[in-house]
Amino acid sequence: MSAEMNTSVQLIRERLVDFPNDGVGRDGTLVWLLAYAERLLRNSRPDAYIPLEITTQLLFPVDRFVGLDLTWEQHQKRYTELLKSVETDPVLRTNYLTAYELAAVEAGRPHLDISTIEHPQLNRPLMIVPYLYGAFLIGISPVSYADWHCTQRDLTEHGQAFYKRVKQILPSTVLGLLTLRGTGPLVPLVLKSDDDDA
Amino acid sequence: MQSEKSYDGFLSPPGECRISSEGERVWLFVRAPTDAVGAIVMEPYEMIATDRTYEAERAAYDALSHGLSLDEYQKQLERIRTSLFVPNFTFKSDYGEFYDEMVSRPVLAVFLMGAFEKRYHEQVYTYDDLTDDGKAFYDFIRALYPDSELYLATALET
Repeated sequence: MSAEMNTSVQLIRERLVDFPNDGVGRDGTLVWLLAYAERLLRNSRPDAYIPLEITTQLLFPVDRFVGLDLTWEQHQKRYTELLKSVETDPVLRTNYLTAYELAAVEAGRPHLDISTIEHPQLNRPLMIVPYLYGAFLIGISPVSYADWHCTQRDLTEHGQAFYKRVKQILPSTVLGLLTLRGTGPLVPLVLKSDDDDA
Repeated sequence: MQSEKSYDGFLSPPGECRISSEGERVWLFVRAPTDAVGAIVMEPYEMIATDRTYEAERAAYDALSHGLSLDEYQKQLERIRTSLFVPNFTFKSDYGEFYDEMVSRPVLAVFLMGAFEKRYHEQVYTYDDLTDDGKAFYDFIRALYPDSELYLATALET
């Protein structure tokens, strides 16, 4: 994996992710390290109020989602269930999400969900990753992979050290590794002039 | 707000509590060196300014106090912030309205450096207002993303 987008710009100095050698496409792949606010995820203590203003969120089109290590197993299990029922369930056949996407959402809450926020240039729903103290782009690859999502085992020595460092900063944090398809911005940035032209 | 351990571990405010009814939050933004990669995120709610834009924003505010029109002031703010934040024409509600907050240009990382339940800083947090641990983390992030630009954004919690 090259940590460089091109020869003139270095995005990430250290290689933090060991991507597989066997790429299957040219869409590219991104890996983000997510730092969730654990108590918002658990939502089990009403007295432990944490204003949403101290968290942020990531938004991206649902079709870019590959996997989140925290929810991968449930995601795959639900996906298998949906594939079995998709041919006989008329609702599933007309759902605006694919079975893979729907399974990701159903198995992913509260770590991720479909957002009510819309993007003026995109016709697919946005997936939202909420309750974040932070997010770090830690891997970028020019190729895409079959059946691969990043887990802690896929981090290099530098990646492991960074993972532990972020975890130590906020002991109440749950860390996740988010794998996305494509290397471009998570959503297109729309500038005022773009909007005026539209 | 109930304190969260280590929320304030990276912040070393310069003075005593200034306004007790407000809290403050400090976010680190890593602005990507190219618009071809990164995340677009909303500006922190009730953001005062960033460390890199505070002086210019304060000068614009002074000009507003001395007769600059509100429209021109807002245009100045947009120009001052444009290297990191731009008016939001990217995210809209399901009612079709764009949210009022500005949005970032693509960033490679965003991270909550700390939060206080009270307001300690009269201005905005800068690198010098970080603890040694905070400076070490900031330096580490700056080294990790060598061609990016780092910003510290201070926001009020009301």
